[in-house]
Amino acid sequence: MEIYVKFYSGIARKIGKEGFVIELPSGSNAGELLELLYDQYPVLAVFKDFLVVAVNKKEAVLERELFAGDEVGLMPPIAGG
Amino acid sequence: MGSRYSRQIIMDGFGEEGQEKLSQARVLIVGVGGLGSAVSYYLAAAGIGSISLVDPDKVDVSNLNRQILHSEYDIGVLKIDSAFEKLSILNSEVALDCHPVKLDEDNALELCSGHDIIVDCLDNFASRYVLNKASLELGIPMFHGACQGLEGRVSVFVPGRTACFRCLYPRAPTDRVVPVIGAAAGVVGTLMAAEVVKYVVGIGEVLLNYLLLFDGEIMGIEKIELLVRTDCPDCHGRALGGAE
Repeated sequence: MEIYVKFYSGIARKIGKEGFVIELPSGSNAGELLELLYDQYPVLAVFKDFLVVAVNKKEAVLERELFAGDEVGLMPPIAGG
Repeated sequence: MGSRYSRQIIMDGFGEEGQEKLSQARVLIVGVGGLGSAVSYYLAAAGIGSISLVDPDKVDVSNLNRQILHSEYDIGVLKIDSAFEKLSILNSEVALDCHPVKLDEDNALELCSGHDIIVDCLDNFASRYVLNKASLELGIPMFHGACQGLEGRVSVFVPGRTACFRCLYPRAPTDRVVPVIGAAAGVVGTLMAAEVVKYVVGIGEVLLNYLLLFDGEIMGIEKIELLVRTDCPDCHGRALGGAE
């Protein structure tokens, strides 16, 4: 199934693109997608454990099952003031 | 010529009643830096009745690209003293209360008590977690903002109604000095001030349980619906009726 991965803010800058379509086995969840992305993009390691995950604009737990056509947004925390 | 607040009073749903609500509101602003400058200016201009400011720092020359409350002649002066001077000139009707202290676990409850709204204009996660706990314990809404580079985030956490700051960021990276474009801090602070005014007056849709993401590099604005976490160590999913 095809999932659209959308990177927000610092992640988009580190990877050099705002998002892309990825093919995942049916039944995959958000956590499994993240592990795949950490393998593919080592620059993401700095954000590991801190990313806010949203599926179709709703924040989701890592166990959230994904379905074809879902958009998974990934955003790092920011704290400046 | 209208009265001081006439241009907001004439807005649909605002009226004299809305202005009266603002004049009765007691708002605590924690942090008088980039975000706090914009928030405090606009809330004072709007006629918030009472504004308390918390910040232990003195004005440094490196603050001046974004902290528009402070000027060159304020370098070395406590930020709250600089803020008091500017806000008093802007609106003498606002009661200002200044605390030159760093928010911590020992003073958070005392500083937050007696306010209707807490505005998080801090610059680090550690202090925000402390403020979040105080907000939850006292049942006071916390208006959150953060900025970095050209981007920002805004949300409104209301104990018992929404996710809390810890729900949003259960874990956070180590705090560090981050780049900030002054105008981005201004955008975020202005959005925060608008949310406070909307909430107090009761107009529009406030960012309850939503996180607004502003990305100035591409001029993008999006909203994400937040997750109330039943395993949150701070609110324990109170908004879902969870036990504490």
